[in-house]
Amino acid sequence: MRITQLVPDVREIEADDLVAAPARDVATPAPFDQALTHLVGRFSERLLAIPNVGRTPELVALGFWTRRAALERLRAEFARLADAESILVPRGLVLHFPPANVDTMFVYSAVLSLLTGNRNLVRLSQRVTPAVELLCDVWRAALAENAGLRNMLTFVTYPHDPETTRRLSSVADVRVIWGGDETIRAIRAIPAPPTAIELAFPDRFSLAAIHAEAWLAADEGAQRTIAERFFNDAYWFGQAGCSSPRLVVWCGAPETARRASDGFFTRVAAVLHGRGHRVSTGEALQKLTFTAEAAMDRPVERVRRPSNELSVLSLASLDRFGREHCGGGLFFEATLPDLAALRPFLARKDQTLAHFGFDAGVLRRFVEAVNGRGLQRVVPLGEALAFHRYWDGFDLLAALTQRVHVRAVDEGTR
Amino acid sequence: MTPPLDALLALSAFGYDPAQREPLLLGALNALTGFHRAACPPYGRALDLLFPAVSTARTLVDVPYLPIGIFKSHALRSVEEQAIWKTLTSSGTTSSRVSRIVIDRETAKRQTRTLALIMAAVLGPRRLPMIIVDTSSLIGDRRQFSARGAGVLGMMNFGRDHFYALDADMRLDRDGLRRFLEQHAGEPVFLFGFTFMVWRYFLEALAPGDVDLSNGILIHGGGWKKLADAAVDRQAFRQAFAERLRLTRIHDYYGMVEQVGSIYLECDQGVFHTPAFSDVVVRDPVTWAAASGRQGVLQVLSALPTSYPGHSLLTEDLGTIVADDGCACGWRGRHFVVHGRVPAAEPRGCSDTFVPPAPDVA
Repeated sequence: MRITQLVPDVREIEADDLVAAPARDVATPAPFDQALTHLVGRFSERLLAIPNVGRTPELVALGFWTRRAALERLRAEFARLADAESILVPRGLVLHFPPANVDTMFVYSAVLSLLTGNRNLVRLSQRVTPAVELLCDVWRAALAENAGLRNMLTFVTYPHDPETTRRLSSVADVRVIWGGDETIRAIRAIPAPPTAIELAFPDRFSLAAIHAEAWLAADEGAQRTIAERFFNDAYWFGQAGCSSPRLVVWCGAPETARRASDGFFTRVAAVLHGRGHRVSTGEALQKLTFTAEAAMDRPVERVRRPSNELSVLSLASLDRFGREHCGGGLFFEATLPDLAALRPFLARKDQTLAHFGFDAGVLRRFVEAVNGRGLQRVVPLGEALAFHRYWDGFDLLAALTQRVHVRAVDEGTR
Repeated sequence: MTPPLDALLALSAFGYDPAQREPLLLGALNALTGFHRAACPPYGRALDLLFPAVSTARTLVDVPYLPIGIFKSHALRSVEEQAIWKTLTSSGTTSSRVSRIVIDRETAKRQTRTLALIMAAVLGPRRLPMIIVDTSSLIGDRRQFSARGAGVLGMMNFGRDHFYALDADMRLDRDGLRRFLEQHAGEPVFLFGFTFMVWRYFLEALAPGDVDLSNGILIHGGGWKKLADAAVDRQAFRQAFAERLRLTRIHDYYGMVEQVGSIYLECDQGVFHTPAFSDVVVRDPVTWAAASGRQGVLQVLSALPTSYPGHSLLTEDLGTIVADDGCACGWRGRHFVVHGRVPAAEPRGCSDTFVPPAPDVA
């Protein structure tokens, strides 16, 4: 099997070379070792220094997330995880299977794994996008000036081949598998060592909830800002990220909600227009087909299609709401009297609720009422795609380390 | 339901007066919209939501449409289940999902009749000896036709003494071909096949002078994508057939399984003509308003289908209308060129595949 290594350098490589254990005397860094934060900080600096990187906001977001100041905050948070009776240490070798089509998301989990002192082997899709190409370039450069950490981060690509995946899995201490669901099933069918653990990020559905009165009460400037934030949440990654909102729930009386929705989507249309955001004709046709399907199969009451970039399908009810979706700027919407009324419609698959107009108490009570039957993230509108150590129900800083219980001899038995 | 087709059927397929034809076609299409709206509730729901302002179209451009891809998820029908005579499916080579088009006897009869009128425009009134540039093993299960099989079967009606020129491995039966041509020496001969196959397995398998097809009339269709990949365009295609086989009467057709029967035939000027029973609108891909004279997405209109709501469909093909009448070939009516498929949307997202449900419409 031809395996192409992309990071730390580009070459053909054998599976045997990849799975060879590092020599026993090679010391690996402790979690948040200065050398590790330095490496990631250099990655950030190099990424943000690329000319025109601003045209790809996903890359800018990644660059900011890995800035030195952000890493110092993460270090402090990690330090708070420790206690007098335990020490957090790396898990070892982490094997990552990122998603094929969301260019930057996988870097976040790989970075957290690196910062917590793990060695990382990342299997990239065969379809290397320009953004992934660029990320590989930046990592190669950052690793070249930190030669001591070269064996900590390896990117490879190879065709779908269960045998190679089996070889790599045989030495993994953690497998991080990003969906789709089919990928997760296929990789789970391949055994990992009994001591290994698995973090799987399956297909998800995400939504937004907006307090209709609060939206109507917001002044023009605030409404513009909210529409901008919603644009960022929904339109990066072509609305195809697991966290991209695809359903907007209006909380309030029907007439109020209708007014709020009309105003809100008018603002969103203005943002789309202002930014010159365009979908391809192929995407536009795909959205039209999906809209026609939805009109036939779902309780759609109204369809608004102000442009190719925005379609809003109003639902009479969320009963048996199907989570299939075409992406590209299509929103279902529904009206409920309040946030609590959303609870029965949530499903395990639902990941992120991006909200506007609710206070912390309402949100916390809502999450407690849902009690785990859906939703791992409840974040303000505009932060739907903002990666965090808390993701998909995991605390990644904890999940990527092992907690060693350390007790000295009791005073009494001395 | 019978659309008011008689007046349309009385017109010459490519010799009609467009000014006289347009109100007849519009009337038929409006009648079909009303009929399907009542007979196929999912269609009615989609129309009410997608075109809330349109009740009766006042011009062809106003006729509401469905995206053609809807037949991949919904086998829409406007007849009782028992009335279904056959289900056509698209070949599905590029997409994992196929279109399913349900046909009753009335629609099938209408399709056969209009296709005959269209074909007569180039083949004449009599059945000609026919060479099918395909394999006989194509025609298997007669209740479920592939697009290719349905295309061949539909065309067989217009020929006699059918000769399949290819074996199951797509090899040309050279001796059989020579015998067939000797048998029918001096007669006009009808050749039919799919564009790519006609080129790759027929023309390329023959040397200059191998056979003389100066009596031949070739009708082919199915698209140019594979030939475009091989850098063969319409002109090179015509030229090669003329030089190698002396075959000069060549007609491409543009048609689809979603609108069998009302196909668009290429004239000797190399453009497609709309026959009396069907028409096209080209839409701007941003505003979706009619974009006559500019490239846009093709919408196809056909007065034929009553068993399924497919009389007005937005295709995934790009085209340009050349003119509404006055082609140098002598045929009347709107004529246009097809540029090929709209590039498919890139798959994106965390998921590796996206497969929406495909419910049957009860």
